[in-house]
Amino acid sequence: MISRGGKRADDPIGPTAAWIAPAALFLLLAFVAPFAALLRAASHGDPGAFLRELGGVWTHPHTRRALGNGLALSAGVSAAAILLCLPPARLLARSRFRGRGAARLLLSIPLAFSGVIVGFLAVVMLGRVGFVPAVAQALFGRPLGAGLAYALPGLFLAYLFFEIPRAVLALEAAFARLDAELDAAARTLGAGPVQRFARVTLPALRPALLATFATTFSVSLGSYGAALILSRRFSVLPVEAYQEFTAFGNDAGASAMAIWLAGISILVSVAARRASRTATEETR
Amino acid sequence: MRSASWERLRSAAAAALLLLLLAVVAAPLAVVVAGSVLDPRLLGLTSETWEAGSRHSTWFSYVLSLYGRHLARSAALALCVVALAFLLGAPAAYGLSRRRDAFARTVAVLLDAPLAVPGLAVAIGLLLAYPRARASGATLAAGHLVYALPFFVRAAGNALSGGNVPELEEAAAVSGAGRWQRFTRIVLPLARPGILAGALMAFTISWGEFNVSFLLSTPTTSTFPSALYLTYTTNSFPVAAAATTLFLAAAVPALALLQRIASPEAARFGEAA
Repeated sequence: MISRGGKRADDPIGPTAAWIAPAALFLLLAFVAPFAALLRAASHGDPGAFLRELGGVWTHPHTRRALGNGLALSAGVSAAAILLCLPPARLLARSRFRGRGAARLLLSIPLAFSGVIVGFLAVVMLGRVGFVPAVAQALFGRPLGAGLAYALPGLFLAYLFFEIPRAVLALEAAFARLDAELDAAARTLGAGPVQRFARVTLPALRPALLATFATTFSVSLGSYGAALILSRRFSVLPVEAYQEFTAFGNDAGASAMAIWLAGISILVSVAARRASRTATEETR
Repeated sequence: MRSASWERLRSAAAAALLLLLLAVVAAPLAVVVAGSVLDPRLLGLTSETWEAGSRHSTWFSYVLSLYGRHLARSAALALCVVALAFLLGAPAAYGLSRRRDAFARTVAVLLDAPLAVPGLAVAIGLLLAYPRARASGATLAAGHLVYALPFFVRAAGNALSGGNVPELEEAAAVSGAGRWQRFTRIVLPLARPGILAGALMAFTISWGEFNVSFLLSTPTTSTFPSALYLTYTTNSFPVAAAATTLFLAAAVPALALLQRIASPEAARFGEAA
Protein backbone atom coordinates (compact mmCIF):
# COMPACT_ATOMS: atom_id res chain seq x y z
CA MET A 1 0.00 0.00 0.00
CA ILE A 2 2.73 2.38 1.04
CA SER A 3 4.83 1.68 -2.00
CA ARG A 4 1.82 2.21 -4.23
CA GLY A 5 1.04 5.54 -2.63
CA GLY A 6 4.66 6.58 -3.03
CA LYS A 7 4.62 5.64 -6.66
CA ARG A 8 1.51 7.68 -7.22
CA ALA A 9 2.92 10.84 -5.73
CA ASP A 10 5.90 10.42 -8.00
CA ASP A 11 3.89 9.38 -11.04
CA PRO A 12 0.44 10.89 -10.66
CA ILE A 13 -0.72 10.76 -14.25
CA GLY A 14 0.75 7.45 -15.32
CA PRO A 15 2.92 7.19 -18.40
CA THR A 16 3.04 10.55 -20.16
CA ALA A 17 3.34 8.72 -23.46
CA ALA A 18 -0.19 7.37 -23.18
CA TRP A 19 -1.66 10.88 -23.11
CA ILE A 20 0.51 12.15 -25.97
CA ALA A 21 0.32 9.05 -28.13
CA PRO A 22 -2.89 9.87 -30.07
CA ALA A 23 -1.57 13.29 -31.13
CA ALA A 24 1.84 11.77 -31.92
CA LEU A 25 0.26 9.09 -34.10
CA PHE A 26 -1.78 11.71 -35.93
CA LEU A 27 1.31 13.85 -36.62
CA LEU A 28 3.17 10.78 -37.83
CA LEU A 29 0.39 9.98 -40.31
CA ALA A 30 -0.62 13.50 -41.35
CA PHE A 31 2.71 15.32 -41.30
CA VAL A 32 5.74 13.00 -41.22
CA ALA A 33 4.39 10.49 -43.74
CA PRO A 34 3.36 13.21 -46.24
CA PHE A 35 6.75 14.86 -45.89
CA ALA A 36 8.39 11.50 -46.57
CA ALA A 37 6.11 11.12 -49.58
CA LEU A 38 7.37 14.47 -50.92
CA LEU A 39 10.98 13.32 -50.56
CA ARG A 40 10.18 9.98 -52.19
CA ALA A 41 8.35 11.61 -55.11
CA ALA A 42 11.24 14.00 -55.77
CA SER A 43 13.86 11.27 -55.61
CA HIS A 44 12.23 8.15 -57.12
CA GLY A 45 14.38 6.38 -54.51
CA ASP A 46 17.61 7.65 -56.10
CA PRO A 47 19.67 10.33 -54.28
CA GLY A 48 21.20 11.52 -57.55
CA ALA A 49 17.77 12.08 -59.08
CA PHE A 50 16.73 13.91 -55.90
CA LEU A 51 19.58 16.39 -56.23
CA ARG A 52 18.92 16.82 -59.96
CA GLU A 53 15.24 17.50 -59.28
CA LEU A 54 16.06 20.03 -56.54
CA GLY A 55 18.76 21.63 -58.68
CA GLY A 56 16.30 21.86 -61.56
CA VAL A 57 14.16 24.30 -59.58
CA TRP A 58 17.19 26.58 -59.26
CA THR A 59 18.64 26.18 -62.76
CA HIS A 60 15.35 26.57 -64.59
CA PRO A 61 15.02 30.35 -65.11
CA HIS A 62 11.24 30.33 -64.74
CA THR A 63 11.10 28.62 -61.34
CA ARG A 64 14.22 30.42 -60.13
CA ARG A 65 12.55 33.75 -60.89
CA ALA A 66 9.39 32.62 -59.08
CA LEU A 67 11.45 31.57 -56.05
CA GLY A 68 13.44 34.80 -56.12
CA ASN A 69 10.22 36.84 -56.37
CA GLY A 70 8.80 35.07 -53.34
CA LEU A 71 11.97 35.45 -51.29
CA ALA A 72 12.34 39.16 -52.05
CA LEU A 73 8.63 39.84 -51.50
CA SER A 74 8.52 37.90 -48.22
CA ALA A 75 11.68 39.48 -46.81
CA GLY A 76 10.61 43.00 -47.82
CA VAL A 77 7.08 42.60 -46.53
CA SER A 78 8.24 41.08 -43.22
CA ALA A 79 10.74 43.87 -42.61
CA ALA A 80 8.18 46.54 -43.53
CA ALA A 81 5.49 44.94 -41.34
CA ILE A 82 7.80 44.89 -38.32
CA LEU A 83 8.93 48.50 -38.76
CA LEU A 84 5.38 49.69 -39.34
CA CYS A 85 3.87 47.74 -36.44
CA LEU A 86 6.52 48.36 -33.79
CA PRO A 87 5.27 51.78 -32.53
CA PRO A 88 1.54 50.85 -32.59
CA ALA A 89 2.33 47.56 -30.83
CA ARG A 90 4.13 49.46 -28.07
CA LEU A 91 1.17 51.80 -27.75
CA LEU A 92 -1.29 48.90 -27.49
CA ALA A 93 0.84 47.20 -24.86
CA ARG A 94 1.63 50.25 -22.72
CA SER A 95 -1.35 52.59 -22.91
CA ARG A 96 -4.89 52.08 -21.74
CA PHE A 97 -7.21 54.08 -23.95
CA ARG A 98 -10.83 53.83 -25.00
CA GLY A 99 -11.36 51.64 -28.02
CA ARG A 100 -8.15 49.70 -27.41
CA GLY A 101 -9.97 46.37 -27.50
CA ALA A 102 -11.81 47.33 -30.66
CA ALA A 103 -8.54 48.42 -32.27
CA ARG A 104 -6.90 45.10 -31.43
CA LEU A 105 -9.89 43.18 -32.76
CA LEU A 106 -9.92 45.14 -36.01
CA LEU A 107 -6.20 44.59 -36.50
CA SER A 108 -6.58 40.87 -35.83
CA ILE A 109 -9.31 40.30 -38.43
CA PRO A 110 -6.96 39.59 -41.38
CA LEU A 111 -5.65 36.60 -39.36
CA ALA A 112 -8.70 34.68 -40.46
CA PHE A 113 -8.23 35.55 -44.12
CA SER A 114 -6.71 33.46 -46.82
CA GLY A 115 -4.52 35.17 -49.39
CA VAL A 116 -7.39 35.01 -51.87
CA ILE A 117 -9.54 37.36 -49.80
CA VAL A 118 -6.62 39.75 -49.41
CA GLY A 119 -6.17 39.67 -53.18
CA PHE A 120 -9.85 40.52 -53.67
CA LEU A 121 -9.63 43.40 -51.18
CA ALA A 122 -6.64 44.74 -53.11
CA VAL A 123 -8.66 44.61 -56.34
CA VAL A 124 -11.61 46.32 -54.67
CA MET A 125 -9.42 49.15 -53.40
CA LEU A 126 -6.76 49.50 -56.09
CA GLY A 127 -8.16 47.69 -59.11
CA ARG A 128 -8.89 49.37 -62.44
CA VAL A 129 -12.30 50.49 -61.14
CA GLY A 130 -11.29 50.36 -57.49
CA PHE A 131 -12.52 52.45 -54.59
CA VAL A 132 -9.34 54.52 -54.16
CA PRO A 133 -9.19 55.60 -57.83
CA ALA A 134 -12.92 56.38 -57.71
CA VAL A 135 -12.45 58.62 -54.67
CA ALA A 136 -9.35 60.22 -56.19
CA GLN A 137 -11.29 60.89 -59.39
CA ALA A 138 -13.98 62.67 -57.42
CA LEU A 139 -11.49 64.65 -55.34
CA PHE A 140 -8.63 65.39 -57.71
CA GLY A 141 -10.10 64.60 -61.10
CA ARG A 142 -7.60 61.82 -61.67
CA PRO A 143 -8.02 58.07 -60.93
CA LEU A 144 -4.91 57.76 -58.78
CA GLY A 145 -3.84 54.21 -58.06
CA ALA A 146 -6.05 52.60 -60.71
CA GLY A 147 -4.76 49.14 -61.58
CA LEU A 148 -2.07 49.34 -58.92
CA ALA A 149 -3.37 46.08 -57.44
CA TYR A 150 -2.08 44.17 -60.46
CA ALA A 151 1.42 45.61 -60.31
CA LEU A 152 4.21 44.82 -57.86
CA PRO A 153 3.32 47.62 -55.37
CA GLY A 154 -0.21 46.24 -55.12
CA LEU A 155 1.06 42.74 -54.41
CA PHE A 156 3.41 44.17 -51.80
CA LEU A 157 0.54 46.05 -50.10
CA ALA A 158 -1.68 42.96 -50.19
CA TYR A 159 0.99 40.82 -48.51
CA LEU A 160 1.61 43.61 -46.00
CA PHE A 161 -2.11 43.71 -45.15
CA PHE A 162 -1.86 39.98 -44.52
CA GLU A 163 1.11 40.32 -42.15
CA ILE A 164 -0.05 43.35 -40.14
CA PRO A 165 -2.04 41.35 -37.55
CA ARG A 166 0.73 38.79 -37.08
CA ALA A 167 3.34 41.50 -36.54
CA VAL A 168 1.16 43.73 -34.32
CA LEU A 169 -0.08 40.96 -32.03
CA ALA A 170 3.29 39.24 -31.65
CA LEU A 171 5.12 42.53 -30.98
CA GLU A 172 2.44 43.71 -28.59
CA ALA A 173 2.89 40.53 -26.56
CA ALA A 174 6.66 41.12 -26.60
CA PHE A 175 6.25 44.70 -25.34
CA ALA A 176 3.90 43.46 -22.62
CA ARG A 177 6.54 40.98 -21.43
CA LEU A 178 9.18 43.69 -21.45
CA ASP A 179 10.35 44.86 -18.05
CA ALA A 180 9.33 48.53 -17.79
CA GLU A 181 11.60 48.95 -14.76
CA LEU A 182 14.68 48.47 -16.92
CA ASP A 183 13.72 51.43 -19.06
CA ALA A 184 12.97 53.51 -15.96
CA ALA A 185 16.32 52.54 -14.43
CA ALA A 186 18.18 53.53 -17.61
CA ARG A 187 16.33 56.85 -17.55
CA THR A 188 17.34 57.48 -13.93
CA LEU A 189 20.93 56.75 -14.90
CA GLY A 190 20.66 59.52 -17.46
CA ALA A 191 20.25 57.58 -20.71
CA GLY A 192 18.49 59.52 -23.46
CA PRO A 193 15.51 58.12 -25.39
CA VAL A 194 17.56 56.99 -28.40
CA GLN A 195 20.18 55.41 -26.18
CA ARG A 196 17.49 53.65 -24.12
CA PHE A 197 15.85 52.28 -27.23
CA ALA A 198 19.13 51.06 -28.71
CA ARG A 199 20.68 49.68 -25.51
CA VAL A 200 17.70 48.51 -23.46
CA THR A 201 14.54 48.00 -25.51
CA LEU A 202 16.01 46.64 -28.73
CA PRO A 203 18.19 43.93 -27.16
CA ALA A 204 15.27 42.80 -25.01
CA LEU A 205 12.98 42.69 -28.03
CA ARG A 206 15.47 40.91 -30.28
CA PRO A 207 14.12 37.37 -29.76
CA ALA A 208 10.57 38.58 -30.50
CA LEU A 209 11.71 40.54 -33.56
CA LEU A 210 13.50 37.49 -34.95
CA ALA A 211 10.57 35.19 -34.21
CA THR A 212 8.11 37.63 -35.80
CA PHE A 213 10.29 37.98 -38.87
CA ALA A 214 10.52 34.19 -39.21
CA THR A 215 6.75 33.79 -38.90
CA THR A 216 5.75 36.54 -41.31
CA PHE A 217 8.46 35.44 -43.74
CA SER A 218 7.33 31.83 -43.90
CA VAL A 219 3.64 32.76 -44.02
CA SER A 220 4.32 35.08 -46.96
CA LEU A 221 6.56 32.58 -48.72
CA GLY A 222 3.99 29.80 -48.50
CA SER A 223 0.86 31.83 -49.21
CA TYR A 224 -0.26 32.01 -52.81
CA GLY A 225 -3.91 33.10 -52.80
CA ALA A 226 -3.09 36.79 -53.26
CA ALA A 227 -0.67 36.06 -56.09
CA LEU A 228 -3.28 33.79 -57.68
CA ILE A 229 -5.79 36.65 -57.81
CA LEU A 230 -3.47 39.57 -58.49
CA SER A 231 -0.51 38.66 -60.61
CA ARG A 232 -0.53 37.58 -64.19
CA ARG A 233 3.14 38.14 -64.97
CA PHE A 234 4.62 37.99 -61.50
CA SER A 235 4.67 34.37 -60.38
CA VAL A 236 5.62 32.85 -57.03
CA LEU A 237 6.84 29.32 -56.44
CA PRO A 238 3.71 27.89 -54.72
CA VAL A 239 1.66 28.87 -57.79
CA GLU A 240 4.22 27.14 -60.02
CA ALA A 241 4.15 24.04 -57.80
CA TYR A 242 0.35 24.00 -57.88
CA GLN A 243 0.29 24.20 -61.67
CA GLU A 244 3.07 21.66 -62.08
CA PHE A 245 1.14 19.25 -59.88
CA THR A 246 -2.40 19.73 -61.20
CA ALA A 247 -1.96 20.76 -64.83
CA PHE A 248 1.12 18.77 -65.79
CA GLY A 249 0.97 15.88 -63.32
CA ASN A 250 4.66 16.39 -62.60
CA ASP A 251 4.77 14.95 -59.07
CA ALA A 252 8.56 15.01 -58.88
CA GLY A 253 8.89 18.63 -59.99
CA ALA A 254 6.08 19.88 -57.76
CA SER A 255 7.52 17.96 -54.80
CA ALA A 256 10.95 19.47 -55.41
CA MET A 257 9.43 22.97 -55.34
CA ALA A 258 7.48 22.14 -52.16
CA ILE A 259 10.72 20.87 -50.56
CA TRP A 260 12.48 24.12 -51.48
CA LEU A 261 9.71 26.17 -49.87
CA ALA A 262 9.51 24.00 -46.75
CA GLY A 263 13.31 23.84 -46.47
CA ILE A 264 13.74 27.62 -46.64
CA SER A 265 10.95 28.24 -44.13
CA ILE A 266 12.34 25.66 -41.71
CA LEU A 267 15.86 27.07 -42.07
CA VAL A 268 14.67 30.60 -41.38
CA SER A 269 12.69 29.61 -38.30
CA VAL A 270 15.53 27.45 -36.93
CA ALA A 271 18.03 30.27 -37.54
CA ALA A 272 15.73 32.77 -35.82
CA ARG A 273 15.37 30.46 -32.83
CA ARG A 274 19.15 29.96 -32.65
CA ALA A 275 19.84 33.68 -32.88
CA SER A 276 17.23 34.57 -30.28
CA ARG A 277 18.62 31.93 -27.91
CA THR A 278 22.07 33.48 -28.10
CA ALA A 279 20.44 36.89 -27.68
CA THR A 280 18.76 35.86 -24.43
CA GLU A 281 22.00 34.35 -23.15
CA GLU A 282 23.83 37.59 -23.90
CA THR A 283 21.34 39.74 -22.02
CA ARG A 284 21.59 37.38 -19.07
CA MET B 1 11.97 68.49 -20.01
CA ARG B 2 13.33 67.56 -23.40
CA SER B 3 12.72 63.93 -22.62
CA ALA B 4 9.05 64.58 -21.82
CA SER B 5 8.38 66.41 -25.07
CA TRP B 6 10.20 63.67 -26.96
CA GLU B 7 7.98 61.13 -25.22
CA ARG B 8 4.88 63.08 -26.25
CA LEU B 9 6.08 63.30 -29.83
CA ARG B 10 6.78 59.58 -29.89
CA SER B 11 3.31 58.76 -28.55
CA ALA B 12 1.69 61.03 -31.12
CA ALA B 13 3.65 59.37 -33.93
CA ALA B 14 2.73 55.91 -32.65
CA ALA B 15 -0.94 56.92 -32.39
CA ALA B 16 -0.86 58.28 -35.95
CA LEU B 17 0.68 55.05 -37.20
CA LEU B 18 -1.91 53.01 -35.29
CA LEU B 19 -4.71 55.04 -36.89
CA LEU B 20 -3.13 54.47 -40.29
CA LEU B 21 -3.02 50.69 -39.75
CA LEU B 22 -6.62 50.72 -38.53
CA ALA B 23 -7.69 52.66 -41.61
CA VAL B 24 -5.80 50.31 -43.91
CA VAL B 25 -7.56 47.29 -42.40
CA ALA B 26 -10.98 48.87 -41.94
CA ALA B 27 -11.37 50.63 -45.31
CA PRO B 28 -11.46 47.57 -47.60
CA LEU B 29 -13.68 45.69 -45.16
CA ALA B 30 -16.10 48.61 -44.99
CA VAL B 31 -16.21 48.93 -48.77
CA VAL B 32 -16.86 45.20 -49.19
CA VAL B 33 -19.57 45.01 -46.52
CA ALA B 34 -21.22 48.17 -47.91
CA GLY B 35 -20.93 46.75 -51.42
CA SER B 36 -22.86 43.66 -50.42
CA VAL B 37 -25.96 45.68 -49.50
CA LEU B 38 -25.69 48.97 -51.38
CA ASP B 39 -25.75 49.73 -55.06
CA PRO B 40 -22.04 49.45 -55.95
CA ARG B 41 -22.39 52.55 -58.13
CA LEU B 42 -22.62 54.54 -54.90
CA LEU B 43 -19.09 53.32 -54.16
CA GLY B 44 -17.93 54.25 -57.64
CA LEU B 45 -17.31 50.58 -58.30
CA THR B 46 -19.77 49.47 -60.89
CA SER B 47 -18.73 48.27 -64.27
CA GLU B 48 -21.44 45.71 -64.80
CA THR B 49 -24.71 44.65 -63.27
CA TRP B 50 -25.47 41.06 -63.70
CA GLU B 51 -29.14 40.36 -64.23
CA ALA B 52 -28.93 36.74 -63.08
CA GLY B 53 -28.86 37.89 -59.50
CA SER B 54 -31.87 40.13 -59.75
CA ARG B 55 -34.27 37.25 -59.23
CA HIS B 56 -33.08 37.18 -55.66
CA SER B 57 -34.16 39.81 -53.14
CA THR B 58 -30.62 40.25 -51.81
CA TRP B 59 -27.16 39.33 -52.98
CA PHE B 60 -26.86 37.11 -49.93
CA SER B 61 -29.66 34.79 -51.00
CA TYR B 62 -28.08 34.63 -54.45
CA VAL B 63 -24.73 33.68 -52.93
CA LEU B 64 -26.43 31.07 -50.74
CA SER B 65 -28.19 29.59 -53.77
CA LEU B 66 -24.81 29.34 -55.54
CA TYR B 67 -22.46 28.44 -52.70
CA GLY B 68 -24.68 27.44 -49.77
CA ARG B 69 -23.31 23.94 -49.95
CA HIS B 70 -19.73 25.20 -49.66
CA LEU B 71 -20.73 27.28 -46.67
CA ALA B 72 -22.38 24.32 -44.91
CA ARG B 73 -19.40 22.09 -45.68
CA SER B 74 -16.98 24.68 -44.31
CA ALA B 75 -18.98 24.99 -41.10
CA ALA B 76 -19.19 21.21 -40.67
CA LEU B 77 -15.49 20.76 -41.41
CA ALA B 78 -14.48 23.53 -38.99
CA LEU B 79 -16.58 21.97 -36.20
CA CYS B 80 -15.09 18.59 -37.02
CA VAL B 81 -11.58 20.06 -36.79
CA VAL B 82 -12.45 21.63 -33.43
CA ALA B 83 -13.72 18.29 -32.10
CA LEU B 84 -10.64 16.42 -33.31
CA ALA B 85 -8.31 19.09 -31.95
CA PHE B 86 -9.98 18.63 -28.58
CA LEU B 87 -9.87 14.84 -28.64
CA LEU B 88 -6.20 14.69 -29.63
CA GLY B 89 -5.01 17.98 -28.19
CA ALA B 90 -6.45 18.05 -24.67
CA PRO B 91 -4.77 14.80 -23.52
CA ALA B 92 -1.57 15.83 -25.32
CA ALA B 93 -1.51 19.22 -23.58
CA TYR B 94 -2.04 17.44 -20.24
CA GLY B 95 0.79 14.99 -20.87
CA LEU B 96 3.14 17.68 -22.15
CA SER B 97 2.40 19.94 -19.19
CA ARG B 98 3.58 17.24 -16.80
CA ARG B 99 6.75 15.70 -18.01
CA ARG B 100 9.38 16.34 -20.61
CA ASP B 101 11.02 13.05 -21.45
CA ALA B 102 12.63 12.52 -24.85
CA PHE B 103 9.38 11.32 -26.40
CA ALA B 104 7.42 14.31 -25.09
CA ARG B 105 10.10 16.72 -26.35
CA THR B 106 10.05 15.12 -29.79
CA VAL B 107 6.27 15.37 -29.97
CA ALA B 108 6.39 19.03 -28.86
CA VAL B 109 8.83 19.85 -31.68
CA LEU B 110 6.81 17.83 -34.18
CA LEU B 111 3.64 19.64 -33.10
CA ASP B 112 5.08 23.06 -33.98
CA ALA B 113 6.94 21.92 -37.08
CA PRO B 114 4.00 22.32 -39.51
CA LEU B 115 3.86 26.05 -38.70
CA ALA B 116 7.14 26.42 -40.59
CA VAL B 117 5.97 24.35 -43.57
CA PRO B 118 3.82 25.91 -46.31
CA GLY B 119 0.31 24.52 -46.60
CA LEU B 120 0.81 23.62 -50.24
CA ALA B 121 3.77 21.36 -49.32
CA VAL B 122 1.65 19.53 -46.74
CA ALA B 123 -1.20 19.28 -49.25
CA ILE B 124 0.98 17.79 -52.01
CA GLY B 125 2.50 15.40 -49.44
CA LEU B 126 -0.91 14.28 -48.21
CA LEU B 127 -2.11 13.70 -51.77
CA LEU B 128 0.99 11.65 -52.62
CA ALA B 129 0.84 9.64 -49.39
CA TYR B 130 -2.91 8.92 -49.48
CA PRO B 131 -4.09 9.32 -53.06
CA ARG B 132 -7.40 7.56 -52.44
CA ALA B 133 -8.44 9.47 -49.30
CA ARG B 134 -9.05 12.69 -51.21
CA ALA B 135 -12.62 11.94 -52.27
CA SER B 136 -13.77 11.34 -48.69
CA GLY B 137 -12.37 14.63 -47.46
CA ALA B 138 -10.22 12.80 -44.87
CA THR B 139 -6.97 14.34 -46.09
CA LEU B 140 -8.66 17.75 -46.20
CA ALA B 141 -9.61 17.46 -42.52
CA ALA B 142 -6.14 16.13 -41.68
CA GLY B 143 -4.52 19.06 -43.46
CA HIS B 144 -6.61 21.54 -41.45
CA LEU B 145 -5.94 19.71 -38.19
CA VAL B 146 -2.17 19.70 -38.74
CA TYR B 147 -2.27 23.51 -38.57
CA ALA B 148 -4.94 23.82 -35.86
CA LEU B 149 -3.53 21.30 -33.38
CA PRO B 150 -0.40 23.24 -32.29
CA PHE B 151 -2.52 26.26 -31.34
CA PHE B 152 -5.01 24.15 -29.44
CA VAL B 153 -2.32 22.28 -27.50
CA ARG B 154 -0.46 25.48 -26.65
CA ALA B 155 -3.62 27.26 -25.43
CA ALA B 156 -4.78 24.29 -23.34
CA GLY B 157 -1.25 23.75 -22.01
CA ASN B 158 -0.91 27.37 -20.92
CA ALA B 159 -4.12 27.11 -18.94
CA LEU B 160 -2.72 24.03 -17.16
CA SER B 161 0.76 25.32 -16.46
CA GLY B 162 -0.31 28.28 -14.32
CA GLY B 163 -2.32 26.81 -11.45
CA ASN B 164 -1.69 24.13 -8.88
CA VAL B 165 -3.01 21.23 -10.95
CA PRO B 166 -0.51 18.64 -9.66
CA GLU B 167 -1.38 19.37 -6.01
CA LEU B 168 -5.13 19.23 -6.65
CA GLU B 169 -4.70 15.98 -8.50
CA GLU B 170 -2.65 14.47 -5.76
CA ALA B 171 -5.32 15.39 -3.26
CA ALA B 172 -7.92 13.75 -5.49
CA ALA B 173 -5.69 10.69 -5.88
CA VAL B 174 -5.42 10.34 -2.12
CA SER B 175 -9.21 10.47 -1.98
CA GLY B 176 -9.28 7.56 -4.40
CA ALA B 177 -9.96 9.22 -7.76
CA GLY B 178 -8.57 7.30 -10.74
CA ARG B 179 -6.53 8.82 -13.56
CA TRP B 180 -9.43 9.19 -15.94
CA GLN B 181 -11.68 10.62 -13.26
CA ARG B 182 -9.02 13.19 -12.32
CA PHE B 183 -8.58 14.12 -15.97
CA THR B 184 -12.29 14.72 -16.55
CA ARG B 185 -13.12 16.20 -13.12
CA ILE B 186 -10.05 18.32 -12.39
CA VAL B 187 -7.83 18.82 -15.42
CA LEU B 188 -10.47 19.57 -18.05
CA PRO B 189 -12.43 22.08 -15.91
CA LEU B 190 -9.21 23.89 -14.98
CA ALA B 191 -8.10 24.00 -18.59
CA ARG B 192 -11.47 25.25 -19.80
CA PRO B 193 -10.47 28.82 -20.74
CA GLY B 194 -7.49 27.46 -22.67
CA ILE B 195 -9.60 24.80 -24.33
CA LEU B 196 -12.17 27.40 -25.35
CA ALA B 197 -9.44 29.65 -26.76
CA GLY B 198 -7.88 26.69 -28.58
CA ALA B 199 -11.25 25.69 -29.99
CA LEU B 200 -11.88 29.21 -31.32
CA MET B 201 -8.43 29.28 -32.93
CA ALA B 202 -8.99 25.85 -34.50
CA PHE B 203 -12.35 27.05 -35.84
CA THR B 204 -10.89 30.24 -37.29
CA ILE B 205 -7.97 28.44 -38.92
CA SER B 206 -10.20 25.86 -40.55
CA TRP B 207 -12.85 28.41 -41.59
CA GLY B 208 -10.34 30.51 -43.55
CA GLU B 209 -7.94 27.80 -44.69
CA PHE B 210 -7.09 27.99 -48.39
CA ASN B 211 -3.44 26.96 -48.90
CA VAL B 212 -4.11 23.30 -48.05
CA SER B 213 -7.74 23.14 -49.17
CA PHE B 214 -7.37 24.47 -52.70
CA LEU B 215 -5.36 21.42 -53.73
CA LEU B 216 -6.96 18.80 -51.48
CA SER B 217 -10.61 19.53 -52.11
CA THR B 218 -12.70 17.96 -54.85
CA PRO B 219 -15.91 19.44 -56.28
CA THR B 220 -17.84 17.47 -53.66
CA THR B 221 -15.65 18.46 -50.70
CA SER B 222 -14.60 22.00 -51.59
CA THR B 223 -15.03 24.58 -48.86
CA PHE B 224 -16.17 28.19 -48.66
CA PRO B 225 -12.72 29.80 -49.17
CA SER B 226 -12.52 27.91 -52.47
CA ALA B 227 -16.01 29.22 -53.28
CA LEU B 228 -14.72 32.72 -52.54
CA TYR B 229 -11.98 32.13 -55.11
CA LEU B 230 -14.69 31.17 -57.59
CA THR B 231 -16.75 34.30 -56.87
CA TYR B 232 -13.67 36.51 -57.22
CA THR B 233 -12.77 35.05 -60.58
CA THR B 234 -16.22 34.49 -62.09
CA ASN B 235 -18.90 36.65 -60.39
CA SER B 236 -19.53 40.37 -60.36
CA PHE B 237 -18.53 42.63 -57.48
CA PRO B 238 -21.78 42.59 -55.41
CA VAL B 239 -21.83 38.78 -55.42
CA ALA B 240 -18.18 38.57 -54.38
CA ALA B 241 -18.77 41.23 -51.72
CA ALA B 242 -21.81 39.42 -50.31
CA ALA B 243 -19.87 36.14 -50.19
CA THR B 244 -16.97 37.84 -48.40
CA THR B 245 -19.42 39.39 -45.92
CA LEU B 246 -20.83 35.94 -45.17
CA PHE B 247 -17.28 34.74 -44.53
CA LEU B 248 -16.69 37.64 -42.13
CA ALA B 249 -19.98 36.97 -40.34
CA ALA B 250 -18.47 33.84 -38.77
CA ALA B 251 -14.81 34.84 -38.60
CA VAL B 252 -15.20 38.18 -36.81
CA PRO B 253 -17.36 36.91 -33.90
CA ALA B 254 -14.93 34.02 -33.40
CA LEU B 255 -11.98 36.44 -33.20
CA ALA B 256 -13.92 38.81 -30.92
CA LEU B 257 -14.81 35.99 -28.54
CA LEU B 258 -11.21 34.79 -28.58
CA GLN B 259 -9.99 38.21 -27.59
CA ARG B 260 -12.58 38.54 -24.88
CA ILE B 261 -11.78 35.28 -23.14
CA ALA B 262 -8.04 35.13 -23.71
CA SER B 263 -6.19 38.11 -25.08
CA PRO B 264 -2.71 36.60 -24.48
CA GLU B 265 -3.77 33.58 -26.53
CA ALA B 266 -5.04 35.90 -29.23
CA ALA B 267 -1.58 37.43 -29.31
CA ARG B 268 0.04 34.06 -29.84
CA PHE B 269 -2.35 33.53 -32.71
CA GLY B 270 -0.07 35.89 -34.60
CA GLU B 271 2.05 32.86 -35.27
CA ALA B 272 -0.64 31.18 -37.38
CA ALA B 273 0.59 29.87 -40.68
